Amino acid sequence: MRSGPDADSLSQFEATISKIRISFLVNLREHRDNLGEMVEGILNNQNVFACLSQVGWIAHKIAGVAATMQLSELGLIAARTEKLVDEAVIDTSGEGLSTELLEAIGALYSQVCDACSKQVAP
Amino acid sequence: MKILVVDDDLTALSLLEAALNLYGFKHITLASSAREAFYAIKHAEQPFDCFLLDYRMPEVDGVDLCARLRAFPEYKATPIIFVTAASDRISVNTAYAVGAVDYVSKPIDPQEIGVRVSIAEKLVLEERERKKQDVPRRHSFEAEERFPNFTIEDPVPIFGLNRVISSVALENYLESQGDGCKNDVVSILAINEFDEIYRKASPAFAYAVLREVAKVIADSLERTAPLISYNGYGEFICISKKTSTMTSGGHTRQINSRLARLNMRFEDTTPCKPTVLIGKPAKHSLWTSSTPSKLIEKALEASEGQNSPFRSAANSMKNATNCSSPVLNI
Repeated sequence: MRSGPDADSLSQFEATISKIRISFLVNLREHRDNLGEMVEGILNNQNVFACLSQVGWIAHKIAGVAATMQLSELGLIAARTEKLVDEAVIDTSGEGLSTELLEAIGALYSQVCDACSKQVAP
Repeated sequence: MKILVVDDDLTALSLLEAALNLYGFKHITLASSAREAFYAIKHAEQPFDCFLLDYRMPEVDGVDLCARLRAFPEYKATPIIFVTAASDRISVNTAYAVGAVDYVSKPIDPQEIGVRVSIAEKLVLEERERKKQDVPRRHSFEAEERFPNFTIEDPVPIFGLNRVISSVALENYLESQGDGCKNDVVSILAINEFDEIYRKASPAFAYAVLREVAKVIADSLERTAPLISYNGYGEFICISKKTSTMTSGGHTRQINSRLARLNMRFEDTTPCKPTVLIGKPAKHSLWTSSTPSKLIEKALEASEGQNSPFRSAANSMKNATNCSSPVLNI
């Protein structure tokens, strides 16, 4: 097994992570705008299935990396939203979207907006 | 070690690259789609030693990509690690079924990535060493035949069959399931009198028998989403879903009737009629929790007690009891 990283590698790693974080925050703004449109579509009952798939996709992207970018809470809500969207997409009961799912999407959107407004990104 | 990382998310790609660099892996190629991955494979001067794949990707997803990679002869044994946010049982099972050797859940933890890829590197180095040592032995046999030179007790890997996985992958699967393996059943399946077949036939033929039997087992148990690993002595460890409606007697009859239809013959044209016996399955009980390695241990123990051919049990028991963390036991 390889030995653990030395101090130089660690500081280099941290510098790289800072750069990645900046680009993640730029992407997050795009996600925020897309999410906003999708939420509007769902609320207005327009192309609900397509909007939901898009929300699931965005949630999936955020869930995979947010925690590593020191945004653990955002990562958790994204993972939960993704799971609920997946369940809703395969649900054939025809009962419409659950309150739990709508709340999760709302919470995700609000967390993304929050992260975008608090974080300094170019 | 040359590593190809495939993920459609550019942030994830950069993070994985940084994590790998941190642990001293410098020969890294990044691809944001299966198409880019195939381009990189086609134009690589040296083959890649390890793949890190995302599960969910547009067009060709990680599962499809993994299956296609396994179709390349040079990549049939290369470690493929899934790094993904999809952590449900079906996704994990499917990834292992198509040839993953390990499965790491997102969010990306650089340390975990470093450890898992270091383990894969160890496998790669062992495989290189094995190949080096195998060269003179192979030359003494027919060089054009593609089969591993093995003794009857060797848990020789069987490649290229859906749902038939290496012992390392099987251990990693069980470890990744943790409490999630409550719905799993572990059984040992033994080829009756495999030592007779092994003695009478060439190693190439014995290996062909193992492959055919593994394929028949995988096909026959398909509804139970099995993962099967060869354990030596003509015996297989099989993990399947608890919710199966068919009894082990029913499965045994189905497997043996399919094997009989294969009409296999030894090199001297006498019939070779392998049959399979399924040992007593081990399950989680309501009252005692079992770790994944304990579950295998229970299945091997239950089979060892039976009169028939379960002989890999004693060997594996020694390994299993020495190993508290199967993922590191390679």
